[in-house]
Amino acid sequence: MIGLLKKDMLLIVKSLSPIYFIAIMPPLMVSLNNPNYSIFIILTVFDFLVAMQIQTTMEWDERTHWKNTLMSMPIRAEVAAFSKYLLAFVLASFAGVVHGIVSIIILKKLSAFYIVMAFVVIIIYNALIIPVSFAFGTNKSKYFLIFFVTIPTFLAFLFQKFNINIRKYIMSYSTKEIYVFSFCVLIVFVCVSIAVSIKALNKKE
Amino acid sequence: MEPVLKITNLLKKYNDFSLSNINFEIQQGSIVGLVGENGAGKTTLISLILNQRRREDGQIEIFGKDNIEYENDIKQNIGFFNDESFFHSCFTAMNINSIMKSIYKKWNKTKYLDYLKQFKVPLNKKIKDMSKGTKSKLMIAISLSYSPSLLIFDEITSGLDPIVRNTILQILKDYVKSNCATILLSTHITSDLEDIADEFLVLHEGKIAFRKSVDDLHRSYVIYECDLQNYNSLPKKGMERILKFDHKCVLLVKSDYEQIEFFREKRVPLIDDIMHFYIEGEACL
Repeated sequence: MIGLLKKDMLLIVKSLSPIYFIAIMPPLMVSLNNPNYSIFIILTVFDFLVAMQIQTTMEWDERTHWKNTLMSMPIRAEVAAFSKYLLAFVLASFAGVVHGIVSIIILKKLSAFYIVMAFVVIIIYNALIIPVSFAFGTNKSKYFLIFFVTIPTFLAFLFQKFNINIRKYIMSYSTKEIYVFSFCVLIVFVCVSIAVSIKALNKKE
Repeated sequence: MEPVLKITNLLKKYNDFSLSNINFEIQQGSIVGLVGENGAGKTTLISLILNQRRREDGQIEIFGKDNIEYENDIKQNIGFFNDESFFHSCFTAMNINSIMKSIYKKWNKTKYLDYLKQFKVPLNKKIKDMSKGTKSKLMIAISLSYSPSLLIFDEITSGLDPIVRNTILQILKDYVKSNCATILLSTHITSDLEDIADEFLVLHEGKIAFRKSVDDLHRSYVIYECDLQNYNSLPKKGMERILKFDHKCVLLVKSDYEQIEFFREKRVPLIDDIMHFYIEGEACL
């Protein structure tokens, strides 16, 4: 597990490119025109850049037929799959720390919202991408992601069409209840994702 | 002594191909070559040994243990490398050291650095900037640095020039000698096996067509050539295989076969010849 984690961390460090700084520029420009949302916009872009790193490691793995090498090593498929989630957790924690520091500097207070947001965005993104990449390859996982992000849009359309006030429904619960519910959903989602990844990695001809 | 690798009645089926009735053992300290035409089942067999594919039936025991039940324990003691599996091209040899020491219990950094020095592999050069020969030597250094007792190599010398190939074969020979290790080496380059293998297996259409020690092959068989019209009148006892051409035929016969006057060009068979006889030839009936 530690060896795989080291391998992925090294891959991330070696794949860091100035292009990431360029990627931050457009949202930075937009945020300058919307000062109220500037931190939110920049941090969201930062989260996605961090979240994408696991896919980068999986792309490297595919290019080098890593699965072939991996399966000759004393590493169980469960461990290999779980190492990607552990990496997601490490990256999500890192992003959470960055969010915390930024909120202290800009807002002059530690904002739990920003930290949780970083964590949740990175975990959800990877819980989606990792099993799909293991099962169908990293290239196809991008299409799956595009499909997945259309679901909220579609739901919003349905709510509007059938005149369902989802906001009113959500507001009938306390913030604490919403947090607990979201956390439980997140845990179940991650568990299902891990199970699918293990199954995909264990699949043998 | 318990064999290092024991395969019994192994069966693996695909839609258009099956590997069946595979039975063999490999004793400690031997180098065994696995040869056969493309698609004969060499890579499938190796994948099954490493539990990279699921077998339909049969038993594979490595170090006396089932290869699925004790997979992780066994793999701590197996070195594997094929010509497709390299580390990520952005890594250096030193990066690989820091990864592998967390994966293999017996990883020995000193040994690894010694091998890299001996094989002239640069420590801090990225894999993408290395030649194919250097990459192969790096992979072999990795495979040997946790002192595995069984090494499985699949086409490791293909695409390499004769000098690098000889260096690699010499490294493997030395390793087996000094560690009493065992090697299963799959290759298309049969001359490599003539140099280092103790015995070899010919796989043909998913079955073991021939198995002999290299010494035995050279001692027990000879190749003769004769005209096709004379072939029919020859006694078939002691004749193994025949390769028929337009007017002549080439025969693989036991070395004690009585020499007939119209036999020509007696010579000792090579592994390559055996492949031809068992893949393209037919039995002498």
